[in-house]
Amino acid sequence: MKSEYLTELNNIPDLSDEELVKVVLETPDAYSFLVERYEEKLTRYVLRISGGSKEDVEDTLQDVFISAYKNLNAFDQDLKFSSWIYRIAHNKVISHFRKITARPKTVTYEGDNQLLNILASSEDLARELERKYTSQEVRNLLGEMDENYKEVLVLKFLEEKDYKEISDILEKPMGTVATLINRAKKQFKEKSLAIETARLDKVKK
Amino acid sequence: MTKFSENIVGRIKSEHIVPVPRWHFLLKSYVFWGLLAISVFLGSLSFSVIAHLASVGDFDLSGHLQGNFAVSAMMMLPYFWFFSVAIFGLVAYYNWKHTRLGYRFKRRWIFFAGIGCSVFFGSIMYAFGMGNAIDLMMIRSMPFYDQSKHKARAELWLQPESGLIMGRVVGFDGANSQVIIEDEQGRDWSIDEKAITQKIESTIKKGKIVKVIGKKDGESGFIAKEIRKCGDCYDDEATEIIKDDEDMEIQVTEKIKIEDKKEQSSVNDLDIQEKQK
Repeated sequence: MKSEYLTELNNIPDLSDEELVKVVLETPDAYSFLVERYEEKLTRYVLRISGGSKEDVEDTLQDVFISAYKNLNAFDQDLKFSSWIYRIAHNKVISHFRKITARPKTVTYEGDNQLLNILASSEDLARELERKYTSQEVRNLLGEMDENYKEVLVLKFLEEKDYKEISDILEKPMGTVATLINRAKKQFKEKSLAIETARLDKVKK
Repeated sequence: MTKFSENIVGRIKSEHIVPVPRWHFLLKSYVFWGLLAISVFLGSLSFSVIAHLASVGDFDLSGHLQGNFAVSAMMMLPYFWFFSVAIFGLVAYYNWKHTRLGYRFKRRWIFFAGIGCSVFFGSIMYAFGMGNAIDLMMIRSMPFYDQSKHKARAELWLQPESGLIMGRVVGFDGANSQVIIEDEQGRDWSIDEKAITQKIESTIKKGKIVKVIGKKDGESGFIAKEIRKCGDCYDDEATEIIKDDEDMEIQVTEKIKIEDKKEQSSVNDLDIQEKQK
């Protein structure tokens, strides 16, 4: 049995996450491979939804991976491993950051002008946004949004998760996820229009 | 291996962190499923009692009530059991939410599915007479339950002015073809036997509690339009006791008759002996 897993260790790049979980339960050292697969993705995700400092994010991430390791036996093979570990990250962010008094948060990850592009490709109105706003303004916009809305936008348009995955990560029904995404887009547009109006007023003055 | 992954694995080793055993999660999952099953079962039992109370209740009285029907109808509702179904519905919802797939369904669907299961299984239980059995068990074991039920029933049925009375059959007046019933307050009412239908005939026995709908006639008379048995009064025991008393009375009477006969025969014997002397 052990030798079987050692053979599998040599083929790790070919293993799916779910297969790798089984290997980790036999050979704990293999966990480093799982960590490496998700380190960057989760760093980006936690940064995007928490707006915390890099140090805070790293602490959170350590907790995420340690917690995931402790609960490996609870991993449900019907789920994607990515959904499961994103769910742990989501819960850790809530417990780490959101209990701290609300403060203005901005999304600081450099790649976030993607959101504008993706929103733009999804709707005509949003395409106008792309022409009008800088990525910094988009980051500010996201920072001003309600936490729930911001998170679904991040998951849908930046992390490129489908409805089922978002439902598994946030532990909400798919219908609720769809509603949240629609409302999030609406709020995003409203906030961008407010910026536009403020800008026009400035120009008039 | 990146520095970060190295740190994680290092921490796991240095702090001797091990995955929580699988049985721990399985046990947790079984506990939630078990509690879910129990809450649906108890909700079903509660619904079976509602069905039972509805079947023996008096929801058709609107035509006979002179007061506010809404108030009277509210009085007839088995609040305790509705509350009980709602509580077990909520417990079922909470437990379902904590199962592996709980989050995939909308809150309202989970809650209504819980209630729906209680209604479905409760109807089956009612059909097997469990509603009646539970109601009786509660009456015997919880004085508060019995009292509140009694109070609600009395409030509705002690309204002679509104044409509603309820009481225990205490006698029959053969001469006037009347049934005598005694209400909660100890008042006797004479009810015309004409209202006794074939359906209710077997119920009119001494000790049985009956409900009478009609019109007050004088101080203690009552012209009955309808006499119905009190479906949830559980007065069979009282009837049995009275029946036993009657039996005893009969036995005593028979004994007296026999003794009288014996006495008579001994008197006759004495007469014969005296005559012979």
